[in-house]
Amino acid sequence: MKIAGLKGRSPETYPSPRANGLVTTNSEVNTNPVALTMTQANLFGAGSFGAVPGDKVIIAYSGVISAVSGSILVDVSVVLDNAVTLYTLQLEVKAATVPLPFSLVFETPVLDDTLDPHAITVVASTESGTATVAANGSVIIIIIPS
Amino acid sequence: MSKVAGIHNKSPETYPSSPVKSNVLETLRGVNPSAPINGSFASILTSLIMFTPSVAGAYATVLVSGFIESPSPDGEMTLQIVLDPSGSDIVELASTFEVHAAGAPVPFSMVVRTGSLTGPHSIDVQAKTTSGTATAAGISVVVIVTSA
Repeated sequence: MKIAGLKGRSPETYPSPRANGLVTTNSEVNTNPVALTMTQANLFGAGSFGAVPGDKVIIAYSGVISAVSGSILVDVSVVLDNAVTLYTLQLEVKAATVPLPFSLVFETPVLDDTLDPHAITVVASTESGTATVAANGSVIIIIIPS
Repeated sequence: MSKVAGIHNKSPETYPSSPVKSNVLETLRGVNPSAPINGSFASILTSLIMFTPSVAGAYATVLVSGFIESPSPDGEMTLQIVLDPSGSDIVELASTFEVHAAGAPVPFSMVVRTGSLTGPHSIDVQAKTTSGTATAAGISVVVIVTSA
């Protein structure tokens, strides 16, 4: 018996790959400088990206840190639900007017059902109080259903 | 002119072939808060990232980020992404970074896509210093396995 759409295939012999390909991608570019202090500041202009329990989320972020005076340590972190720090990258701006480019990649574990939806943010803070800004931020979020 | 099968609604001269569409087969991750670096290449991951693509001819896109600190200034380090370190041991990408001063972390990131893969494979990220010792920290690796 012929089955439409199965020409040249035997579904029993060649099962389809797991349908994990239906990813959702999101992106944002924040050209506005974000002032950094010792309190974590959100680097997204639009707040956060959402994902639901069962998803995994890949975060790719690139940007630049600059400072008014040099030798400032900055922590850039991926945060879940505005509460749980999943990943932190520590950077140092060595001198004023010497911007430091950086990028990070991170994949979350499978998100649980403690919240629905979950919120993903990328935040930054300084380890001292001198004026510092994050600029030219670009983020790509890939949400993968499990 | 006779009809040609497979080009319905397409003019191959005007519209060249579309990019190959790929299906995400799986994603894998690795994180390591800290790893020492010395004069010989050694893994900076807690364990190899191992996978077996569910279809033959898959590709792995590898993304790595982290930062390097050195207890002594002017330290040079080489990082490399290695496919199958216990087998074919293919260096997919290597890059050298320099830490200019003690206590001054240097961020790094690397991205590379492997060639076509079949069967079980592993991915490692390795590092070594040119001299002295250093520390890699905040290491994060994401591997995206796609069908094409």
